[in-house]
Amino acid sequence: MAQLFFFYLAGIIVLTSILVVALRNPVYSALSLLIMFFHVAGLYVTLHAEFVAAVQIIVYAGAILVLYLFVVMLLNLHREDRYHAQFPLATLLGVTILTEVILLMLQRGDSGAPVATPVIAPPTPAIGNTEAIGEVLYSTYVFPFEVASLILLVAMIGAIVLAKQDLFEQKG
Amino acid sequence: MTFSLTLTPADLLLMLPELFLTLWLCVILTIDFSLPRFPKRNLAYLSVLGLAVVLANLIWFDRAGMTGTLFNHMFVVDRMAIFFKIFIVVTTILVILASIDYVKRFKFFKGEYYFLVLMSALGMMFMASANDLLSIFITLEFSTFGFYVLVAYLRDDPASNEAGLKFFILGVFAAGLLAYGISLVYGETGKLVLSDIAAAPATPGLIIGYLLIFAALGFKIGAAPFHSWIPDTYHGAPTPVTAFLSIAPKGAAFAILLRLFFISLAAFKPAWVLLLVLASILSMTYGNIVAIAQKNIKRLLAYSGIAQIGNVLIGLAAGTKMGGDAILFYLLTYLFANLGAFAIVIAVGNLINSDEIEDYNGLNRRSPFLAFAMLVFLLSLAGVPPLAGFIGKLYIFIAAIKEGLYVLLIVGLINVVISMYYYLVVVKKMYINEPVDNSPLTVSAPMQAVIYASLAGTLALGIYPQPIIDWVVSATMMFSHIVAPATAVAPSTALPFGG
Repeated sequence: MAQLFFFYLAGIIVLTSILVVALRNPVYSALSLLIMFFHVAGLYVTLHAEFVAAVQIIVYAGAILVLYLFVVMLLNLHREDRYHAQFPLATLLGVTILTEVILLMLQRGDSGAPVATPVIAPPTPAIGNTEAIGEVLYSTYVFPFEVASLILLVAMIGAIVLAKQDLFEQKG
Repeated sequence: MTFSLTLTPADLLLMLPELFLTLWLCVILTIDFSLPRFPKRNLAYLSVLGLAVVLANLIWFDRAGMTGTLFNHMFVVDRMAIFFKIFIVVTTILVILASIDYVKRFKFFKGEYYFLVLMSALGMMFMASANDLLSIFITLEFSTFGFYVLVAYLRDDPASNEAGLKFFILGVFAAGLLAYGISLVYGETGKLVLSDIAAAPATPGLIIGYLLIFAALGFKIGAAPFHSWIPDTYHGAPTPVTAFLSIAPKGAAFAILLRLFFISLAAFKPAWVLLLVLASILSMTYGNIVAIAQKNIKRLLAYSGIAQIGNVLIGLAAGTKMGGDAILFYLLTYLFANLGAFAIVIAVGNLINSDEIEDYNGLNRRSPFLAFAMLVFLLSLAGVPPLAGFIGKLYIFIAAIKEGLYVLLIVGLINVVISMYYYLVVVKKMYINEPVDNSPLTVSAPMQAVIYASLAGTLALGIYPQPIIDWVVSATMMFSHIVAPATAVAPSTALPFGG
């Protein structure tokens, strides 16, 4: 059952990823990206990472994709601007990476020598995934967490300083 | 599984400088928007006041020998962290004082400028204390965020916008490399704290991870071959921001580099010395040779900064405690000389509205004080005795000799000669060439204070460096047992090459 689920999700992910680059209309591309994000979230759920799945949907599907759509719709790109002559470069890089992955797989299969020491996962807590993350976030990792809040403050002020337009239009 | 966060007031005391600065920032921001009639100039003095309190606090920590770690070793306060925090706070105070006249050019958001400068300073103070990969990433991004905005602060100036955009795109790319490197190291070791990951065996993933982290930090310090953002960003940014960017983040990034290389990677020293030697040679040579062709003083200082970082990397390549001392001392000499030079660029830029080297013709006739101060700063950057830069270079070269890095020493000495040329070209223009316009130039009081402070630092570190040498030697005491010098014993507290 779990295997079936995995192959369904993985298949849709591959299919929609191809569609993202293959479709000519950028809005369709963005929408297939959305479908892909949802299926990746599904993969996380099968791995018992509910929190990551929720974040995937909220951050990627919710925020980042909307940003993409805004850019696509607001910039209103002309057809000829949309596609650059990247095909040779993309092919070269794609083939290189594919070869590397295959080589790595073969190497590991043969000798098994350079396999990294597996990280021992902590025992699954009795409480839920999200609660556990919340607890570490506010105890062990409280320092980076609080610094992140300061980053948000800087980003907010910075966005106002750099993007506030009306002052310049009124007086400038 | 239980999670607990136990913080006693005594623990939080270790964070007092940062906590106070955070509070002070909010006060400044609140005053700025709630009292629109409050003169913006006074906001600058208020910022300096807050920083002075932080500085006094840090000096007290240093004297009282306050050390400790917080948040499961994520945040560490040791002598070296305190040194770098003092370094950052002093830089910030001088930069804010040097900004006061320049800020008049901004049409809007004058108050937010000081806020963002303080925010970046706060981020860099956190960087100096960051002791695990996660806090390294987040504090580094925090300090850089303020700079992204500050570099593009001159909104009607296309050069500033371009500088901001370049800095942002390349900076975000570097952040991506850093995150990727950290994820690889974490994946291989399962640990984040720098001293914990030291025990891990070298696997390919770990090596790639460390290389990516080094690339990202190399971007931060502007070492070749990760320097491509430096010239345009320095050129386009508002000059006080350039001054700030050219000193403080490099110091903070060296705090991280020192911890990373001397704690986490101490066991792999033979593997990384060559990497650092190459980066150092490349930075020195590239920076100095390209600097010769520059027509703009900010670009000249940008390339000279790349070369200076090459010199600092010699200390890292030495990989000994003495190398660490030399880095700390060199950064201090670089702070005063570079900040002083930029202060004069700001002063001259405010008066004649130009940063071209041609316009420094006959500066001596127009303002003997500015010309003389510039002479001192440039000679210190070049490493002429009895100025600070000389002792700094000597210290770093001796650290390299003790490790037998003779190639590095020879390349370094050749580069000192090359750098002498372009620094002296500026001096020649100031003293020998005739000015186009003979009107005298006057310097405002805060700017004079910055220039006098930098002059005092440059001369004091050059003529009587002993107390500062004692200080940096004690600040890196933590490295004495980790990286034992190969040929020499740890340097005594006396000046190792005779005062």
